[in-house]
Amino acid sequence: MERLEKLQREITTIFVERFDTRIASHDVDLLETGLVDSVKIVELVLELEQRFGVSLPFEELEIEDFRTIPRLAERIARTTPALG
Amino acid sequence: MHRAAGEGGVASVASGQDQARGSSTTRPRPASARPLRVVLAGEEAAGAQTLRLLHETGQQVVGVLTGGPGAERSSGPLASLAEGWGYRVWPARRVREPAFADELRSEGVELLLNVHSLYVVKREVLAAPRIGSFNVHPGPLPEYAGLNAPSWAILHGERVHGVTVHWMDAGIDTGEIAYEARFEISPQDTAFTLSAKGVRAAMPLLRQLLEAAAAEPPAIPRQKQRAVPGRYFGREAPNGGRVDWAAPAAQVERFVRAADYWLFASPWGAPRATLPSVGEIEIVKVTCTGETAAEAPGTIGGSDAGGVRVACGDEWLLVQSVRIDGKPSDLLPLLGARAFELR
Repeated sequence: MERLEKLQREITTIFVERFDTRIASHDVDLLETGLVDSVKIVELVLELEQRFGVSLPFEELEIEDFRTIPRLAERIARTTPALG
Repeated sequence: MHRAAGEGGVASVASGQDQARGSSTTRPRPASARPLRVVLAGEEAAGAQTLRLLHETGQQVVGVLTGGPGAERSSGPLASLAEGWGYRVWPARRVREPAFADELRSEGVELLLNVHSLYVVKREVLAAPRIGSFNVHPGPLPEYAGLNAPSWAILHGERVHGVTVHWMDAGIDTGEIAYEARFEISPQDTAFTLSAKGVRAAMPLLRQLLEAAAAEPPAIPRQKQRAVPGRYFGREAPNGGRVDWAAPAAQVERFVRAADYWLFASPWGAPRATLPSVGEIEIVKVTCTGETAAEAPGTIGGSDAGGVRVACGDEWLLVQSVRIDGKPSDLLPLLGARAFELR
Protein backbone atom coordinates (compact mmCIF):
# COMPACT_ATOMS: atom_id res chain seq x y z
CA MET A 1 0.00 0.00 0.00
CA GLU A 2 2.80 2.33 0.93
CA ARG A 3 4.50 1.58 -2.36
CA LEU A 4 1.28 2.24 -4.26
CA GLU A 5 1.02 5.65 -2.61
CA LYS A 6 4.62 6.34 -3.54
CA LEU A 7 3.79 5.46 -7.11
CA GLN A 8 0.82 7.83 -7.06
CA ARG A 9 3.07 10.63 -5.81
CA GLU A 10 5.56 9.97 -8.58
CA ILE A 11 2.85 10.01 -11.25
CA THR A 12 1.53 13.25 -9.82
CA THR A 13 5.04 14.65 -10.09
CA ILE A 14 5.18 13.63 -13.75
CA PHE A 15 2.08 15.72 -14.40
CA VAL A 16 3.72 18.73 -12.78
CA GLU A 17 7.09 18.33 -14.45
CA ARG A 18 5.93 17.11 -17.83
CA PHE A 19 2.62 18.85 -18.36
CA ASP A 20 2.86 21.76 -15.93
CA THR A 21 -0.37 20.46 -14.41
CA ARG A 22 -1.13 20.06 -10.73
CA ILE A 23 -3.74 17.35 -10.07
CA ALA A 24 -5.92 18.64 -7.23
CA SER A 25 -6.88 15.26 -5.82
CA HIS A 26 -6.80 11.58 -6.58
CA ASP A 27 -10.51 11.69 -7.36
CA VAL A 28 -10.03 13.92 -10.36
CA ASP A 29 -11.22 12.24 -13.54
CA LEU A 30 -8.27 12.85 -15.84
CA LEU A 31 -10.24 12.02 -18.97
CA GLU A 32 -13.45 13.91 -18.32
CA THR A 33 -11.55 17.01 -17.28
CA GLY A 34 -9.36 16.82 -20.37
CA LEU A 35 -6.19 16.70 -18.28
CA VAL A 36 -5.27 13.63 -20.29
CA ASP A 37 -5.98 13.96 -23.98
CA SER A 38 -4.87 12.00 -27.01
CA VAL A 39 -1.51 13.81 -27.08
CA LYS A 40 -0.73 13.58 -23.38
CA ILE A 41 -1.75 9.95 -23.11
CA VAL A 42 1.01 8.93 -25.51
CA GLU A 43 3.54 11.19 -23.83
CA LEU A 44 2.51 9.87 -20.45
CA VAL A 45 2.99 6.23 -21.43
CA LEU A 46 6.44 6.92 -22.88
CA GLU A 47 7.43 8.86 -19.78
CA LEU A 48 6.13 6.14 -17.44
CA GLU A 49 8.08 3.51 -19.35
CA GLN A 50 11.23 5.52 -19.13
CA ARG A 51 10.90 6.59 -15.53
CA PHE A 52 9.90 3.22 -14.13
CA GLY A 53 11.79 1.05 -16.58
CA VAL A 54 8.69 -0.88 -17.55
CA SER A 55 7.09 -1.94 -20.78
CA LEU A 56 3.54 -0.74 -21.36
CA PRO A 57 2.39 -2.10 -24.70
CA PHE A 58 -0.23 0.30 -25.99
CA GLU A 59 -2.52 -2.47 -27.20
CA GLU A 60 -2.66 -3.96 -23.68
CA LEU A 61 -3.70 -0.70 -22.03
CA GLU A 62 -7.31 0.21 -21.40
CA ILE A 63 -8.62 3.74 -21.52
CA GLU A 64 -9.92 3.23 -17.96
CA ASP A 65 -6.31 2.79 -16.79
CA PHE A 66 -5.96 6.54 -17.32
CA ARG A 67 -9.13 7.58 -15.51
CA THR A 68 -7.48 8.65 -12.21
CA ILE A 69 -4.04 8.76 -10.66
CA PRO A 70 -4.77 5.75 -8.39
CA ARG A 71 -5.93 3.66 -11.37
CA LEU A 72 -2.82 4.58 -13.27
CA ALA A 73 -0.68 3.68 -10.28
CA GLU A 74 -2.41 0.32 -10.01
CA ARG A 75 -1.75 -0.33 -13.68
CA ILE A 76 1.94 0.43 -13.29
CA ALA A 77 2.07 -1.65 -10.12
CA ARG A 78 0.66 -4.66 -11.98
CA THR A 79 3.49 -4.29 -14.46
CA THR A 80 6.11 -3.80 -11.77
CA PRO A 81 5.26 -5.85 -8.69
CA ALA A 82 8.25 -4.48 -6.83
CA LEU A 83 6.77 -1.00 -7.06
CA GLY A 84 3.29 -2.00 -6.01
CA MET B 1 0.87 12.14 -44.90
CA HIS B 2 3.88 14.08 -45.99
CA ARG B 3 4.37 16.85 -48.33
CA ALA B 4 7.26 17.49 -50.42
CA ALA B 5 12.08 16.50 -51.93
CA GLY B 6 14.95 14.14 -53.00
CA GLU B 7 17.76 12.37 -54.80
CA GLY B 8 19.37 8.91 -54.35
CA GLY B 9 21.48 6.82 -52.01
CA VAL B 10 21.48 4.26 -49.22
CA ALA B 11 18.86 4.01 -46.52
CA SER B 12 19.39 3.10 -42.93
CA VAL B 13 16.64 0.70 -41.98
CA ALA B 14 15.86 -0.07 -38.37
CA SER B 15 13.47 -2.98 -38.23
CA GLY B 16 11.78 -5.01 -35.53
CA GLN B 17 10.04 -3.98 -32.37
CA ASP B 18 13.18 -3.50 -30.33
CA GLN B 19 14.50 -0.82 -32.60
CA ALA B 20 11.13 0.85 -32.59
CA ARG B 21 10.93 1.16 -28.85
CA GLY B 22 12.18 3.61 -26.32
CA SER B 23 11.47 7.17 -25.42
CA SER B 24 14.18 9.33 -26.78
CA THR B 25 13.69 12.48 -24.85
CA THR B 26 16.22 12.33 -22.09
CA ARG B 27 19.40 10.98 -23.58
CA PRO B 28 21.79 13.91 -23.64
CA ARG B 29 23.15 15.23 -26.87
CA PRO B 30 26.61 13.85 -27.52
CA ALA B 31 29.20 16.35 -26.37
CA SER B 32 30.71 16.52 -29.82
CA ALA B 33 27.42 17.30 -31.59
CA ARG B 34 26.67 20.90 -32.33
CA PRO B 35 23.14 22.25 -31.93
CA LEU B 36 21.15 22.48 -35.12
CA ARG B 37 18.85 25.32 -36.14
CA VAL B 38 15.52 23.57 -36.59
CA VAL B 39 11.97 24.53 -37.50
CA LEU B 40 9.24 22.07 -36.56
CA ALA B 41 5.90 21.86 -38.33
CA GLY B 42 3.97 19.48 -36.15
CA GLU B 43 0.71 18.26 -34.69
CA GLU B 44 -0.52 15.60 -32.31
CA ALA B 45 1.52 13.46 -29.95
CA ALA B 46 4.25 12.90 -32.52
CA GLY B 47 4.74 16.64 -32.88
CA ALA B 48 4.89 17.12 -29.11
CA GLN B 49 7.37 14.27 -28.67
CA THR B 50 9.53 15.69 -31.45
CA LEU B 51 9.60 19.11 -29.80
CA ARG B 52 10.63 17.47 -26.52
CA LEU B 53 13.40 15.66 -28.34
CA LEU B 54 14.64 18.89 -29.91
CA HIS B 55 14.44 20.75 -26.61
CA GLU B 56 16.05 18.11 -24.49
CA THR B 57 18.89 17.47 -26.93
CA GLY B 58 19.70 21.17 -26.94
CA GLN B 59 18.82 22.00 -30.54
CA GLN B 60 18.16 25.62 -31.47
CA VAL B 61 14.45 25.59 -32.19
CA VAL B 62 13.92 28.59 -34.44
CA GLY B 63 10.15 28.23 -34.41
CA VAL B 64 7.21 25.87 -34.31
CA LEU B 65 4.44 25.79 -36.90
CA THR B 66 1.22 24.31 -35.62
CA GLY B 67 -2.56 24.68 -35.75
CA GLY B 68 -5.08 22.85 -37.86
CA PRO B 69 -6.11 23.70 -41.40
CA GLY B 70 -7.63 27.15 -41.65
CA ALA B 71 -6.48 28.17 -38.19
CA GLU B 72 -5.48 31.80 -38.10
CA ARG B 73 -3.73 31.37 -34.79
CA SER B 74 -1.67 28.55 -33.46
CA SER B 75 -3.27 26.69 -30.61
CA GLY B 76 -3.32 23.27 -29.06
CA PRO B 77 -0.95 21.17 -26.99
CA LEU B 78 2.09 21.70 -29.20
CA ALA B 79 1.67 25.48 -29.25
CA SER B 80 1.35 25.49 -25.45
CA LEU B 81 4.45 23.35 -25.07
CA ALA B 82 6.46 25.55 -27.44
CA GLU B 83 5.34 28.78 -25.80
CA GLY B 84 6.18 27.35 -22.40
CA TRP B 85 9.75 26.91 -23.52
CA GLY B 86 9.85 30.36 -25.09
CA TYR B 87 9.90 29.26 -28.72
CA ARG B 88 8.28 31.27 -31.45
CA VAL B 89 5.02 29.79 -32.66
CA TRP B 90 3.63 30.39 -36.13
CA PRO B 91 0.35 29.30 -37.76
CA ALA B 92 0.99 26.07 -39.64
CA ARG B 93 -0.40 27.53 -42.84
CA ARG B 94 2.75 29.65 -43.23
CA VAL B 95 4.42 26.67 -44.94
CA ARG B 96 2.11 27.52 -47.87
CA GLU B 97 3.71 30.98 -48.25
CA PRO B 98 6.67 31.01 -50.66
CA ALA B 99 7.95 34.13 -48.87
CA PHE B 100 8.35 32.08 -45.70
CA ALA B 101 11.39 30.52 -47.40
CA ASP B 102 13.22 33.87 -47.19
CA GLU B 103 12.53 33.96 -43.48
CA LEU B 104 13.94 30.46 -42.99
CA ARG B 105 17.08 31.35 -44.95
CA SER B 106 17.62 34.60 -43.06
CA GLU B 107 17.29 32.66 -39.80
CA GLY B 108 19.89 30.18 -40.95
CA VAL B 109 17.52 27.24 -40.57
CA GLU B 110 19.23 23.93 -41.23
CA LEU B 111 16.40 21.45 -40.82
CA LEU B 112 12.66 21.58 -41.35
CA LEU B 113 10.88 18.71 -39.65
CA ASN B 114 7.31 18.01 -40.72
CA VAL B 115 5.65 15.77 -38.16
CA HIS B 116 2.00 14.97 -38.81
CA SER B 117 1.25 18.48 -40.05
CA LEU B 118 -1.49 18.40 -42.65
CA TYR B 119 -0.32 21.23 -44.88
CA VAL B 120 1.39 20.62 -48.19
CA VAL B 121 4.64 22.55 -47.90
CA LYS B 122 5.51 24.91 -50.76
CA ARG B 123 8.49 23.83 -52.83
CA GLU B 124 10.32 27.10 -52.05
CA VAL B 125 9.94 26.49 -48.33
CA LEU B 126 11.17 22.90 -48.65
CA ALA B 127 14.33 24.07 -50.37
CA ALA B 128 15.15 26.77 -47.83
CA PRO B 129 16.75 24.81 -44.96
CA ARG B 130 20.50 24.39 -45.46
CA ILE B 131 20.54 20.63 -44.83
CA GLY B 132 17.04 19.64 -45.82
CA SER B 133 13.37 19.11 -45.07
CA PHE B 134 12.14 15.83 -43.65
CA ASN B 135 8.73 14.33 -43.09
CA VAL B 136 7.77 11.78 -40.45
CA HIS B 137 5.13 9.55 -42.03
CA PRO B 138 3.13 7.19 -39.78
CA GLY B 139 3.32 4.26 -42.16
CA PRO B 140 5.59 2.26 -44.46
CA LEU B 141 6.31 3.78 -47.85
CA PRO B 142 5.44 3.52 -50.64
CA GLU B 143 2.72 1.10 -49.50
CA TYR B 144 0.82 3.43 -47.19
CA ALA B 145 1.16 6.99 -48.43
CA GLY B 146 -1.45 9.58 -47.55
CA LEU B 147 -3.74 9.92 -44.58
CA ASN B 148 -4.69 7.62 -41.68
CA ALA B 149 -2.10 4.96 -42.54
CA PRO B 150 -2.50 3.08 -39.22
CA SER B 151 -6.25 2.73 -39.79
CA TRP B 152 -5.82 1.43 -43.33
CA ALA B 153 -3.14 -1.03 -42.23
CA ILE B 154 -5.44 -2.51 -39.57
CA LEU B 155 -8.36 -2.64 -41.99
CA HIS B 156 -6.24 -4.55 -44.52
CA GLY B 157 -5.21 -7.10 -41.92
CA GLU B 158 -1.51 -6.24 -42.07
CA ARG B 159 0.71 -7.94 -39.50
CA VAL B 160 3.48 -5.35 -39.63
CA HIS B 161 3.36 -1.58 -39.77
CA GLY B 162 6.04 1.06 -39.85
CA VAL B 163 7.12 4.64 -39.63
CA THR B 164 9.22 6.45 -42.20
CA VAL B 165 11.45 9.53 -42.05
CA HIS B 166 11.96 10.74 -45.58
CA TRP B 167 13.33 13.67 -47.50
CA MET B 168 10.51 15.85 -48.69
CA ASP B 169 10.01 16.54 -52.39
CA ALA B 170 7.26 18.11 -54.44
CA GLY B 171 5.06 15.02 -54.17
CA ILE B 172 3.16 13.76 -51.15
CA ASP B 173 5.02 11.05 -49.25
CA THR B 174 7.17 10.38 -52.31
CA GLY B 175 10.63 11.58 -51.20
CA GLU B 176 13.67 9.43 -50.64
CA ILE B 177 13.75 7.45 -47.42
CA ALA B 178 16.29 8.40 -44.78
CA TYR B 179 15.26 6.12 -41.92
CA GLU B 180 12.45 3.65 -41.31
CA ALA B 181 11.33 1.23 -38.64
CA ARG B 182 8.90 -1.67 -38.56
CA PHE B 183 6.82 -3.04 -35.70
CA GLU B 184 4.14 -5.67 -35.24
CA ILE B 185 0.42 -5.07 -35.41
CA SER B 186 -1.25 -7.16 -32.74
CA PRO B 187 -4.80 -8.52 -33.06
CA GLN B 188 -5.77 -6.11 -30.27
CA ASP B 189 -4.34 -2.99 -31.86
CA THR B 190 -6.68 -0.13 -32.58
CA ALA B 191 -5.97 2.90 -34.71
CA PHE B 192 -5.05 4.77 -31.56
CA THR B 193 -2.67 2.18 -30.14
CA LEU B 194 -1.01 1.60 -33.50
CA SER B 195 -0.58 5.35 -33.99
CA ALA B 196 0.98 5.53 -30.53
CA LYS B 197 3.38 2.72 -31.42
CA GLY B 198 4.39 4.76 -34.45
CA VAL B 199 5.17 7.76 -32.28
CA ARG B 200 7.38 5.59 -30.08
CA ALA B 201 9.15 4.14 -33.12
CA ALA B 202 9.69 7.52 -34.76
CA MET B 203 11.70 9.12 -31.98
CA PRO B 204 14.86 7.00 -32.32
CA LEU B 205 14.76 7.66 -36.06
CA LEU B 206 14.63 11.39 -35.51
CA ARG B 207 17.48 11.11 -33.04
CA GLN B 208 19.51 9.35 -35.74
CA LEU B 209 18.65 12.11 -38.18
CA LEU B 210 19.70 14.85 -35.76
CA GLU B 211 22.97 13.13 -34.97
CA ALA B 212 23.80 12.60 -38.64
CA ALA B 213 22.79 16.15 -39.54
CA ALA B 214 25.02 17.57 -36.83
CA ALA B 215 28.01 15.36 -37.62
CA GLU B 216 28.01 14.83 -41.36
CA PRO B 217 24.93 15.89 -43.35
CA PRO B 218 25.97 14.09 -46.57
CA ALA B 219 25.82 10.86 -44.57
CA ILE B 220 22.07 11.16 -44.07
CA PRO B 221 20.72 8.23 -46.07
CA ARG B 222 18.79 8.77 -49.28
CA GLN B 223 17.09 5.70 -50.64
CA LYS B 224 14.60 5.94 -53.46
CA GLN B 225 11.29 4.43 -52.59
CA ARG B 226 10.83 0.93 -53.94
CA ALA B 227 9.37 0.68 -57.41
CA VAL B 228 6.36 -1.30 -56.24
CA PRO B 229 2.88 0.05 -56.78
CA GLY B 230 2.38 2.55 -54.02
CA ARG B 231 -0.98 3.38 -52.58
CA TYR B 232 -2.23 6.80 -51.60
CA PHE B 233 -5.04 6.93 -49.07
CA GLY B 234 -7.29 9.93 -48.79
CA ARG B 235 -9.38 11.39 -46.04
CA GLU B 236 -12.55 9.37 -46.60
CA ALA B 237 -13.45 6.38 -44.46
CA PRO B 238 -14.07 3.11 -46.32
CA ASN B 239 -17.64 2.31 -47.33
CA GLY B 240 -18.67 5.82 -46.35
CA GLY B 241 -17.97 4.95 -42.72
CA ARG B 242 -20.78 2.37 -42.64
CA VAL B 243 -20.55 -1.23 -41.50
CA ASP B 244 -20.99 -3.70 -44.34
CA TRP B 245 -22.68 -6.64 -42.64
CA ALA B 246 -22.34 -8.70 -45.81
CA ALA B 247 -18.56 -8.60 -45.46
CA PRO B 248 -16.69 -11.35 -43.57
CA ALA B 249 -16.91 -10.92 -39.78
CA ALA B 250 -13.13 -10.55 -39.48
CA GLN B 251 -13.24 -7.63 -41.91
CA VAL B 252 -15.98 -5.89 -39.95
CA GLU B 253 -14.00 -6.45 -36.74
CA ARG B 254 -10.90 -4.89 -38.32
CA PHE B 255 -12.96 -1.94 -39.54
CA VAL B 256 -14.18 -1.26 -36.01
CA ARG B 257 -10.62 -1.41 -34.60
CA ALA B 258 -9.34 0.69 -37.49
CA ALA B 259 -11.71 3.48 -36.52
CA ASP B 260 -11.14 3.18 -32.76
CA TYR B 261 -9.37 6.12 -31.09
CA TRP B 262 -10.62 5.35 -27.59
CA LEU B 263 -12.40 8.41 -26.23
CA PHE B 264 -10.75 10.70 -28.73
CA ALA B 265 -11.96 11.92 -32.08
CA SER B 266 -11.43 9.39 -34.82
CA PRO B 267 -10.70 10.77 -38.30
CA TRP B 268 -13.08 8.15 -39.69
CA GLY B 269 -15.69 8.63 -37.00
CA ALA B 270 -17.21 5.50 -35.46
CA PRO B 271 -18.51 2.85 -37.87
CA ARG B 272 -22.23 3.43 -38.39
CA ALA B 273 -25.11 1.02 -38.88
CA THR B 274 -28.87 1.50 -39.03
CA LEU B 275 -31.57 -0.27 -37.06
CA PRO B 276 -35.06 0.32 -38.56
CA SER B 277 -36.67 1.04 -35.19
CA VAL B 278 -33.86 3.12 -33.72
CA GLY B 279 -32.00 4.85 -36.51
CA GLU B 280 -28.28 5.22 -36.70
CA ILE B 281 -26.04 3.42 -34.23
CA GLU B 282 -22.28 3.69 -33.81
CA ILE B 283 -20.53 0.36 -33.43
CA VAL B 284 -17.74 0.78 -30.89
CA LYS B 285 -16.48 -2.70 -30.00
CA VAL B 286 -17.00 -6.12 -31.54
CA THR B 287 -15.45 -9.58 -31.32
CA CYS B 288 -15.40 -12.41 -33.81
CA THR B 289 -17.12 -15.60 -32.64
CA GLY B 290 -15.78 -17.96 -35.29
CA GLU B 291 -19.27 -19.47 -35.58
CA THR B 292 -20.78 -19.86 -39.00
CA ALA B 293 -23.90 -17.77 -39.62
CA ALA B 294 -26.50 -19.18 -41.98
CA GLU B 295 -28.84 -16.21 -41.54
CA ALA B 296 -28.90 -13.17 -43.78
CA PRO B 297 -26.19 -10.56 -43.09
CA GLY B 298 -27.34 -8.03 -40.52
CA THR B 299 -29.65 -10.48 -38.74
CA ILE B 300 -29.62 -10.06 -34.96
CA GLY B 301 -29.27 -13.40 -33.24
CA GLY B 302 -29.79 -12.63 -29.58
CA SER B 303 -27.51 -11.88 -26.67
CA ASP B 304 -24.50 -13.94 -25.78
CA ALA B 305 -21.53 -13.54 -23.44
CA GLY B 306 -21.60 -9.80 -22.96
CA GLY B 307 -22.77 -8.89 -26.42
CA VAL B 308 -25.36 -9.25 -29.13
CA ARG B 309 -24.76 -11.58 -32.06
CA VAL B 310 -25.10 -10.12 -35.54
CA ALA B 311 -24.73 -12.16 -38.71
CA CYS B 312 -22.02 -11.12 -41.12
CA GLY B 313 -21.29 -12.53 -44.55
CA ASP B 314 -19.75 -15.66 -43.10
CA GLU B 315 -19.91 -15.76 -39.30
CA TRP B 316 -21.63 -14.29 -36.28
CA LEU B 317 -20.04 -11.19 -34.84
CA LEU B 318 -20.49 -10.23 -31.19
CA VAL B 319 -21.36 -6.54 -30.86
CA GLN B 320 -20.24 -5.50 -27.37
CA SER B 321 -20.42 -1.73 -27.24
CA VAL B 322 -22.43 0.86 -29.13
CA ARG B 323 -23.27 4.56 -29.03
CA ILE B 324 -26.58 6.15 -29.91
CA ASP B 325 -26.79 9.91 -30.49
CA GLY B 326 -23.11 10.07 -29.62
CA LYS B 327 -23.59 8.61 -26.13
CA PRO B 328 -22.75 5.15 -24.81
CA SER B 329 -25.83 2.94 -24.83
CA ASP B 330 -26.72 -0.50 -23.56
CA LEU B 331 -27.46 -3.16 -26.14
CA LEU B 332 -31.21 -3.43 -25.54
CA PRO B 333 -32.14 -1.50 -28.70
CA LEU B 334 -30.42 -4.21 -30.72
CA LEU B 335 -32.35 -6.98 -29.00
CA GLY B 336 -35.60 -5.24 -29.86
CA ALA B 337 -34.88 -5.43 -33.56
CA ARG B 338 -34.72 -8.27 -36.06
CA ALA B 339 -31.91 -7.06 -38.25
CA PHE B 340 -29.71 -4.14 -39.22
CA GLU B 341 -30.46 -2.51 -42.51
CA LEU B 342 -28.24 -3.50 -45.38
CA ARG B 343 -27.03 -0.67 -47.58
